Amino acid sequence: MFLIRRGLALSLPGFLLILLLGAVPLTVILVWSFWTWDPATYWIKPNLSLDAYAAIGDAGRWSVIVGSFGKAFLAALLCLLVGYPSALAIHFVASPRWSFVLMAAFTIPFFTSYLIRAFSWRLVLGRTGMVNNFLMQIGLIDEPLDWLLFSDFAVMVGLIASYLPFVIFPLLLSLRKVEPNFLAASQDLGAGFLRTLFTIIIPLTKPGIFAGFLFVFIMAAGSSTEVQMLGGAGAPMISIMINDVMRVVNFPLAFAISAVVIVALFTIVLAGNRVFGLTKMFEDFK
Amino acid sequence: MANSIGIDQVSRRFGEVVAVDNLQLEIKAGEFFTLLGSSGSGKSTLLKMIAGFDQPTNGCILFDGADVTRMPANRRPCNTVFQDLALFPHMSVAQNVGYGLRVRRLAKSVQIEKVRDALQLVDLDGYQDRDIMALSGGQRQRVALARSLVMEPGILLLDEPLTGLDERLRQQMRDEFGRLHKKTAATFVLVTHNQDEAMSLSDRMAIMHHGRLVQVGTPDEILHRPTNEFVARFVGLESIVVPDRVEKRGAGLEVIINGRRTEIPGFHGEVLPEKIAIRSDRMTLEAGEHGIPATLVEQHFRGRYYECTLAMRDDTRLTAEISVDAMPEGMDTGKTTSLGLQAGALVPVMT
Repeated sequence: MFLIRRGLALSLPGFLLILLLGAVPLTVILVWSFWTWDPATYWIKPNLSLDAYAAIGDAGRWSVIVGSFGKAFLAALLCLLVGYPSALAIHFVASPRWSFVLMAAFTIPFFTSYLIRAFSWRLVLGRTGMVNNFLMQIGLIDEPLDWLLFSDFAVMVGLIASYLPFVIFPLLLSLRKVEPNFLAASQDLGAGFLRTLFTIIIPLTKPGIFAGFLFVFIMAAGSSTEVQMLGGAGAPMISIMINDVMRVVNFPLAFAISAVVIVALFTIVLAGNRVFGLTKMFEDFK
Repeated sequence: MANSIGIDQVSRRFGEVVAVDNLQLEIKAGEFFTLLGSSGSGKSTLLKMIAGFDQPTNGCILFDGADVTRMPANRRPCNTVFQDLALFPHMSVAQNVGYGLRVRRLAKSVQIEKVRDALQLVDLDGYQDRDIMALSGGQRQRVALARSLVMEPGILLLDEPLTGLDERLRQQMRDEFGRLHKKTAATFVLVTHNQDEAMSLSDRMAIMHHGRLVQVGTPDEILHRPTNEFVARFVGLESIVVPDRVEKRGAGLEVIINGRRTEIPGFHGEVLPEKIAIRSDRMTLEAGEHGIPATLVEQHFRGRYYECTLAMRDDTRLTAEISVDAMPEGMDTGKTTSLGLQAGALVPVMT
């Protein structure tokens, strides 16, 4: 009883912080999204209406939301495809020293500003960038490739480069559940590598796969820098759209968009937890 | 069905460390063979090489005379019961046991039948749909056994499979191994550091030390004719004395220990042993003077017997197990007593 009471007391500051930093802004967003904005006066009226939500349907805003989610989905999927083998290598193949080096290699780029990182891709992918130079030098192409930069391709490269570590760390965490002897036992019973991968390793790391996917998906859905720096014309993301709406002080619409996005993300998290058992990943910390 | 195993001049080095040192060994088809050694003796490395999880630096592994050194583990006709069992936690009992059958792409109905037979063999029929996590330690052990046996392997490798269990379960599972060996007729290779396990199960056994085989033989041979002091101590012969004199006498040996003349019958070797081990369960403490004089240094009550540490005149220490009834009246630490030897008490130790 004493211990429980002390535990409660200890966790109280945490609860208060979460309430203050998380719940309060969320409530404000939710409440304001039901207010109305007068385009003639830029004035916000504190009443209860669905005007802001109705406005999401105008000016192709829906397609921006869906498109952003689509890009985020693709980015998360590609991050998993690249990150999973890397995580396997770090966990099973590399010596402790090498796995440290590899993890550092994934993390160190984060010491620079994400603006710089996104910008550096321009130097790599541009018309006179490294990739085009190289391809022209070896004679594979005569003209520089235009679609490398200011395109969805460039955005995807930028997103994957930015968020890859967020998929690798949850994967590494969940790979600790896969004892090396599970692989030996699977092989002992006649299975080759692919069979072991699909029947043992992937099922046991499902929570990590989903967590990694979720991290990247959420961050990519909310990203703006990569799209602004690397994307072509007419490929806005949710955050850019919200920014534009905020510029004309249409807070109710901005908050309505946010509310829709938050609800959508929550739905994905809860559904995913049902299917993939996200909470299982943290079981061994109890 | 059962395969023989040949270990031909096998070495395994990890950098500077020599885990297995130029080993030569023949394990017969259908035999229950035990590799006995302390941790770091190389016994697990040898087992891994037989299973195919590790490759020798030098030498060959042969199954039925055919070289399998470069054959990957999933193609070898042997299966392993791992020390930590390595049961797949996301699968039910039946899915675990049937894993290898699914890999072999057997028909569903055949799989179900074979899984049931294997579970019957280990007394777990009816547990098919249980969650692995919901089983007790002994039940998991049986599932791991069934998962290997369902493959009908020519060789079953057991890597210290009893370490995690409590004493009662150990004994149960030990008997189970013996029973399954008779029933399956496969070659069993057990790795253990427990001499009781090795003695009670093996047809033959090898004692490993620093990557080499110190002695290979039947448990009886090793218990009664240990080649050296290391083996003797490893199989529980802790009291080792250097006799005053050893002589060949007829079909036996005449030994003089601390002035007391005694005989070891049935010794046929030409070379005389340098040391003599005294079995702790064949010593008696007596009043009077006709035994070996010794001082009781320590005594610990062990339930059915006293474990007594005795010092001989030259201060050699002996350990004797004296049953509670046989403890002389008024015996206490510091007192001098006369040590009697029952039949079979003395074991010649060559070096």
